[in-house]
Amino acid sequence: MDFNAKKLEKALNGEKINLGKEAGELYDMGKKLSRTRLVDSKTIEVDPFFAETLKEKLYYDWTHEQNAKSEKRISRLRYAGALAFSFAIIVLLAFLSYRYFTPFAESPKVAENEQNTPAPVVQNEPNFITATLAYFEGRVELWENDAWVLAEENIILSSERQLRTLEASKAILSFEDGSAMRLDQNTHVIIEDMTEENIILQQIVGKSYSRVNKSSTLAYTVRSLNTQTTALGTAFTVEIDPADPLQEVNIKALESSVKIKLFDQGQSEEKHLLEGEEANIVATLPINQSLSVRTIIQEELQADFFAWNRSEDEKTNQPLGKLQDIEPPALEITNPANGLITTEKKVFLAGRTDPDSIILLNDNEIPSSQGQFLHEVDLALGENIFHLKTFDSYGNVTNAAISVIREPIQIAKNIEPAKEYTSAENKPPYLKKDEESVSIGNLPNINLSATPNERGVYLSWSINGLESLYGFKILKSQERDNAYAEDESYLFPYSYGRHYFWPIKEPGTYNFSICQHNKDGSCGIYSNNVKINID
Amino acid sequence: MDREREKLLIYKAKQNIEAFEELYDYYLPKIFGYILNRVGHRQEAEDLTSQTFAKVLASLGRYEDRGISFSAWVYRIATNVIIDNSRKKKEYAMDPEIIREHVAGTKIVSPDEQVCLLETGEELRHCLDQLKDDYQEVLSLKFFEELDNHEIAEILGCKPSAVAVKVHRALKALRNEVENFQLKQNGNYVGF
Repeated sequence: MDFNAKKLEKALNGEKINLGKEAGELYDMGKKLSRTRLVDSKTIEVDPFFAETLKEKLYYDWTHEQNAKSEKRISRLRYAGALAFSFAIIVLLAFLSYRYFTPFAESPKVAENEQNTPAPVVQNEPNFITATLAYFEGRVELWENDAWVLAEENIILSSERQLRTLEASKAILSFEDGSAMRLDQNTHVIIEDMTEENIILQQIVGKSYSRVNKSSTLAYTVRSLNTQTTALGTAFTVEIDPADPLQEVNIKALESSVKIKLFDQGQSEEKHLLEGEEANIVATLPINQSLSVRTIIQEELQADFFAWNRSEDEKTNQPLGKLQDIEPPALEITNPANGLITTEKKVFLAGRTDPDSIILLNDNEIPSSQGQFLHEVDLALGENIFHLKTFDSYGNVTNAAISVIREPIQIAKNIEPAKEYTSAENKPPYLKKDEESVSIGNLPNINLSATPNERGVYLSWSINGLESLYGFKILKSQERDNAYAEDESYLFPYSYGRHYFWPIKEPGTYNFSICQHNKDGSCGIYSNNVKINID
Repeated sequence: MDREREKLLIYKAKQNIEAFEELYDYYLPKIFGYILNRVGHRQEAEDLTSQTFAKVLASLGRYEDRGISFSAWVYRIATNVIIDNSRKKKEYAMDPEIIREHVAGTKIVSPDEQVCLLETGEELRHCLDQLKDDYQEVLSLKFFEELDNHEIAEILGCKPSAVAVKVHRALKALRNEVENFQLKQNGNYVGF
């Protein structure tokens, strides 16, 4: 290297060096030249309008060039197809001529199975694929000539088409490889690219469910904000809130796994989501803080959108993954009635859920057998609200709440003291007077109700104006019209108990009643008679 | 930009313009600044930047990283666009008024530099424009874009040591041009 050039270079690089006259002049010249620069390219702020306009122009030119290439490809394929067709016609004509002019010539012997074998068809495999708007309901629109127009079902869509669903609408975009994207309402999607190698969709806003065909070899990608989700043979959803479409994207891996990739100003980060996981990406945060992953909350899958996708996947025998069971478990509370007003200090909560489900009372598990539960709870004075929650092995949840009001005991002044009756008398006194119209308003009484199920009868009673220190006697009769002359009885020893389940295996008509159990084993006050049928 | 990330984006951009967006956002200010420093005219710089990016996108499918970085490749395209343009407009002379008008609103480096530009900068820039294209290019990359010799070498397709020699020669040529200009203007060289 020239000696002066070397010295100059060192000086320009900031080294303190004794430059000669010439190199010194050149150094000054360079420094003066650097001061004449108009802008600092490292910090210049380009006019945003110019930047955006140029970007749009580049995009426009590029897409037109791609379209032109596609058309060229199609015309080449058409040309090849026409050539093949012409050739086939010539061969056919030649064959027919041969047969016509040599009618008695011996046909070549061909094995029967060969005769039945169709001639091989030469297919030109195009290297691009299409999508079909296979189904829609409500209003679905396509972007055409700078405007949104109403879409038609089964319309074929190529790359770069855009479609959107409006309020209370949905659509299914079906791809040639058997994959499908199902769009919820208020969703806007751009088909970026569809080739034999990949399908790339861009979701601007809304909620989509992508069912990527298990047997497809295409890489299926949904881009959204600064994220792209790629999958092979899986199912996942992408959701962008229409209220804030630039803020956050949610991705749920519903079957198998998906790969998500985040981009931000030259950086990227990858994450694999496993089945049952969901990712929230806040696009406005730095890339290393924007991603959070958690387990999908099964309750969210009970929404109509997932039920629709589940049924669509089921139709095509696709694996259902997290959507295997999104039905919430049954939850029936048979006792007490919601809004019950009572003076009792305790009440039995009884009911049923699915056999494999767990039942929680105010977030604490209570025992159940084959889905049946019977649990005694204390009542505080005033309103008592019981929250029951049941969830199955898939995590589906059903909630219920009942309210029971406990009032203080107020015994009416004109209540007569409890009178004891023997079982020989068979009927309580008020029924003796007038079975049809007796008023029991202010009399001490026991009110019995019964709920049958396939395993027996659930009995529940309340008492008014009396106490039964020695429990109750439950009476059952099948043959007679009422249970006072019982066939069978059960001594219920708890003075505070108000519920009992009587197992019955044989179908038939049964009468039940209950009486106040006296110390000597006799009956005091009788309840009403309840007649039930077991099928 | 991270080299691996850039490679990935280039690979994707060959199939999908969306991936090009990130490259565009990264290189647009650099290339626009480079061109503006070279041509000194905002409108013209925007036109040439548009041409540069259109060419980058059109030939992206053919770009392969064979020792030359994408950055150097883009600068080369921009340089070629500038040279083509200057050939078409050989007679174009920078008018200080035009510079003032069109640079207004653009971030000028410092008030000192502004003074320099308005008092003596125009003449120096005028002389720079009279140099051979490759001298203009190397001086521009060295003193306007402040790239190091390795980066310049990659853009010019030569060794870093050759860049130092080229800078030296280009500065000498510029000094000669300034002397000639001063003689023409004032009858004697007063220096800057």
